[in-house]
Amino acid sequence: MSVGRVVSYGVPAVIGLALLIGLPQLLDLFVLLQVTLYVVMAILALSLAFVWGYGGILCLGQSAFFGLGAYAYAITAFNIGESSLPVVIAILLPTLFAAALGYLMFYGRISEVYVGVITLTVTLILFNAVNSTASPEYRIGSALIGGYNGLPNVPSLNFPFDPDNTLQPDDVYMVAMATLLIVYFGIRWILRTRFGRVLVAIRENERRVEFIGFDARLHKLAAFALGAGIAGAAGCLFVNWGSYVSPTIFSMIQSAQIIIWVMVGGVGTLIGPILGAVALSWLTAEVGTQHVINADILFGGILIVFVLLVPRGLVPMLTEHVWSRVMQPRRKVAVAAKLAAPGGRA
Amino acid sequence: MILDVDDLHAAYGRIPILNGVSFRVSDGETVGILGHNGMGKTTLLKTLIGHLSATAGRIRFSGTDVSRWPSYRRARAGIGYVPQGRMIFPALTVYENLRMGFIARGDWSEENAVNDIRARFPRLDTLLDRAGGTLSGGEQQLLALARTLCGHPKLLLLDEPTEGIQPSIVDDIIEILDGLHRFDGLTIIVVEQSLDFISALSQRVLLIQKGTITRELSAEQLSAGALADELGETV
Repeated sequence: MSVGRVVSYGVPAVIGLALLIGLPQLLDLFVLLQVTLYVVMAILALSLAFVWGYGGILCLGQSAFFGLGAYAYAITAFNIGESSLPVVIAILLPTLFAAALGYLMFYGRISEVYVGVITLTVTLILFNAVNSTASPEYRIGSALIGGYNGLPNVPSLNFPFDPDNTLQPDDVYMVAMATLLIVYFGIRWILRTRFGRVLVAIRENERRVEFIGFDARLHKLAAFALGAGIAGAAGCLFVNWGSYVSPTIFSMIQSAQIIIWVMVGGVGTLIGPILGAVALSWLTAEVGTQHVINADILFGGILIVFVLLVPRGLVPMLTEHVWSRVMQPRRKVAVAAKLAAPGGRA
Repeated sequence: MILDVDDLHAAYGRIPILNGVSFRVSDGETVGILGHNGMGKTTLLKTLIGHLSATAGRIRFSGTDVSRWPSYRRARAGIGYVPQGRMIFPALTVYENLRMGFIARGDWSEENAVNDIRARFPRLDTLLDRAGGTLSGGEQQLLALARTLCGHPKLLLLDEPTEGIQPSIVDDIIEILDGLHRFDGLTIIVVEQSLDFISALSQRVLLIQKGTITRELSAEQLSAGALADELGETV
């Protein structure tokens, strides 16, 4: 394994493990809860970073899968009274839903723009459908769906198959952080496989990929479903963070925020969307504590600034410009040494 | 018989482009297709690879009817296609482009396939770490050809491979294709405007006009240098 690869895997792994183990020791409960939320949002951002940044599928409704994961967990947890199976269902339901939706879109040869429109529309349909289930007759088993009132007091995660042993907030943080690390390194691993390479090539040009013998539709479908599963896992963690879920999880604002995180951090990177989600979630929380400026206006402003000035996002800009400036003097030194060597050209 | 095209029709929307194209290609043969712009040369190749659906007619490849197969299945079956305009993956490196072209078949591994192609394309071997989009037009054309050959096709479809390419690379392409044809028995169908290129490579030439094959020139006619005269009258 090359030094570069050791560094590129080792540095995030060390930082991730340090945050996983260290933060619960260092932070008080309130701050740790806030950090847990940022970590959950980072997982959600990674789901879109994979689907959009590498698969080239502009999903404007990633929050649909986030919400489905949250509701699937909440409803099954109420009914079962134990969290092991609900966690699996929270991942499986959005995956299967995305597989069905993706089949209709990709095998129907729907163009990229309309994929965006359809995913957004599905999110809004889910928002309206769940929003209108406030009457007591809307229940699944023992779980009242609750409509616009939402679903409060959702049972917390417990240790597998041990419902009496529920996780404490610092445990939930560690589960979220571990999930983030698994998702991050899992996506990196996928991108190194043949499937991942084909996916990146599809982003470049779908037709070309088919000419060299790959079923682009199947690859896109698999990526879309996988991204939905990751978003579902984030939804499951989100509902555990607040023990509450409401239809706003399907809202347009939620969908737009995910896109903004990825755009600000950098489409086509993984670290960028994580940083974008954490930084902007923190900013939202900070702005929410004062009444000087509306958070949505701030987000809109940030989006406009990035689209105009940093269209590729923060991480690509930093890696291209700052890194090249750091490396440039070294190159100059190397070239100078070469020229100074015997036989070197002046 | 590797390819049997029978009464093939294709259209862009309501506009018919191919109007009953029929021809056959034997194993190991090299066939050129000539015609004016807009006569259906590129459309014919697109229909053969499945990029454009045939509205009628039949395409049999190695004895199997592939007329309704999607392009990726035809590519997996052994039809390699180098489209007009190169169509490499510009953000991927040369090496990654080559790896993308590999199609698992038999015991031929990806590494073997890529190494074989590197040996055949020494000009690309020095550019493996370069992004495809940074190559010159000629190098991109070589890369597009090399990537398709990584898939070890039985039939190679080439659409105007010399368009806008410097002469030294055109010579490289002729040499490589001639070697693949002579020593590996690769079957080639090439659409080309350059008479020099097509006569250097083809054993026979099909002339296409208004979406149908109107004339065929044999190897003997080609070697007699009659191609230019024939084309002077027909094309």
